[in-house]
Amino acid sequence: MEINELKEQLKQQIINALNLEDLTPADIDDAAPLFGEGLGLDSIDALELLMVLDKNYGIKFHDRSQSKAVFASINAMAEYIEANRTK
Amino acid sequence: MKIAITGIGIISALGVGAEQNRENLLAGKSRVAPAEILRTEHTEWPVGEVGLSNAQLARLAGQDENALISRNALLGMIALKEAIADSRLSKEMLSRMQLLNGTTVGGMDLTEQYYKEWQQGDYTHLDTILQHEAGMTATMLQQCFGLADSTTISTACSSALNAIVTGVMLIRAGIAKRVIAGGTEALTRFHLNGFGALGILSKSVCRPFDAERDGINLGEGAAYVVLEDAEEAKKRGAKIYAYVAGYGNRCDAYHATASSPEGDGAYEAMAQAIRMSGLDYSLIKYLNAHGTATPNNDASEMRAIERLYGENMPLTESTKPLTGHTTSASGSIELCFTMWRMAANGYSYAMSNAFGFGGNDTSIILSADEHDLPPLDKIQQIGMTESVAAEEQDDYKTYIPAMQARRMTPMLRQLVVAAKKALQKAGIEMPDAIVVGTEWGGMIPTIELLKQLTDAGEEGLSPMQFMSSTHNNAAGTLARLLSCKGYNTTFSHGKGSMAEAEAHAALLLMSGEAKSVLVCGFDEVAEGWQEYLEKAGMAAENIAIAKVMAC
Repeated sequence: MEINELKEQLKQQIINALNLEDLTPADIDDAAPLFGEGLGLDSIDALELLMVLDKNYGIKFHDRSQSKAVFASINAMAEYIEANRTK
Repeated sequence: MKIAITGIGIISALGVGAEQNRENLLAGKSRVAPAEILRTEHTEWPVGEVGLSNAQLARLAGQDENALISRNALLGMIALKEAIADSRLSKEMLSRMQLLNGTTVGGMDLTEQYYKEWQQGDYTHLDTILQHEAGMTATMLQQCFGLADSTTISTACSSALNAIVTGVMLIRAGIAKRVIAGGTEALTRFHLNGFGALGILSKSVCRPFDAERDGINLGEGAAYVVLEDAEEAKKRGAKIYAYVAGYGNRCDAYHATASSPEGDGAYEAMAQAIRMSGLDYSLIKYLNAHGTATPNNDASEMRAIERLYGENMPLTESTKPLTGHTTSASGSIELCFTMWRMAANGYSYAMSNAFGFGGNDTSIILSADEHDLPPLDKIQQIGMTESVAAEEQDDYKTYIPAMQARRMTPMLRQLVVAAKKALQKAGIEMPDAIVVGTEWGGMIPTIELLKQLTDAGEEGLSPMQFMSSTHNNAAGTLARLLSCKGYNTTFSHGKGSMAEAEAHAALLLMSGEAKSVLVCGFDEVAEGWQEYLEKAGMAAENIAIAKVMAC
């Protein structure tokens, strides 16, 4: 899968998992931070995102603190998924 | 007015009854270990189980061991029986007393066991659905011991302490001479997996306030205390364990599960309790903290204690490594522990904290010697607006920020709209208190979780659904959206929940606890639940109404 296609798919999965019903994939900036300033997600969202990675890409984190860097932006998430996906 | 504690009944991982619990507390014995009775795959998360099967508990409670009684009610029966005997309450006295019970899980252990059968059209065990409701546990206990009345307070992990505070208020206002108050909570797969989904369970015995702390151990149990007008207690020669010197209930109004960095709710609850007691804080030398051992709770609670005490910190202890976090029962179990610590160490005063999801933070202060609670103002005239509901043309988006609304069910959104309209109508920007009545609590997320448990097993429950499933999620959400850090509580006692909430609001106004109270009724019909309720001759309703009571 091409990386841009993966990013689009990922954005839709995030919108669905976090009930961001007012957003479309186009509203989410690839480089903007997902937490804090950017999209404004919180710790519960981070847990939901872990489930998205597990369910859709077979990625599990044994040390949850590692996930912080991965959730920095859509770009960071897509790169990590490409390199580590098991499905 | 002096209010005395004249009876104790308790069951926890530390044992059955006051004697075993007291001995094991003072010996510092931890009974946290991998689950043996709860049928769970998650043995990596040790728990504080009461080490008896349901049949063994039923025998102790004097019940038929083959009857399908929720573990929650069985634990409650055993503790209540002991409290009644300990206080030497006669049948005649019991027939005039109210039980104030704190619980959240209700009959969830039965529901999670039989939900799959119902999905498959097998209704052999459908009768157990009657016990699901949090309020039914109290009703069963009331009937079992011939009490006059009962109600249920469900503010997640502060439920039992809020039940006790409510009992104190009733006596203080002269409405009751004596009551029984406390809480019960049995371990269930439902909330073990829910806390697991939140990523806050430890794989070892928990280490509250430790720099390396890494989460909670869940536990179970029940405890009740008999609260009594001290004059009445003396008249009948009752033994007195301690006196209530003050209490405070406040809301953190910060996040559905996380505590605020400055511990605002915790600080305000403790500060209010101390104000009421009239004591200098430095006299309260022992604090039984909430201390769950999550990095977040303990940092927030410690910050709140520091704000109060500065450098002269009281001896602060969390007893959760011994029993596990007994969630809705923790407030009453740890109040018993606090009394025993006072007696063993000769403390004149002690404080106990219980905090819950939704930011429901409550503190209580006990005194070893006679202590007067401040007198109440004369009962004032109470005004009440009519009930307000959201109307069709109301767009929730004009009332609720999108990032908040995304986690709310349609009925919860309607409730927020109704609440904001009711406040507007009453000309009140910020109520002093929020009281919600709900029969079923967050039933849509609860059913989503039950389906996840039955379909996918004990893996991957949604943390968002779990935090929205508690009965107090509505009151916590309202507090957050209104930034209302005042008194906050939730009644969950059957169809009469809204009436209980109104009666409690009146009590708050009479007690001078609040000048204005936002009172709400909330319930939601859930697919995958309503059909089974109907088969059992019951039904839930969609309710989202709000009114303001003020004096």
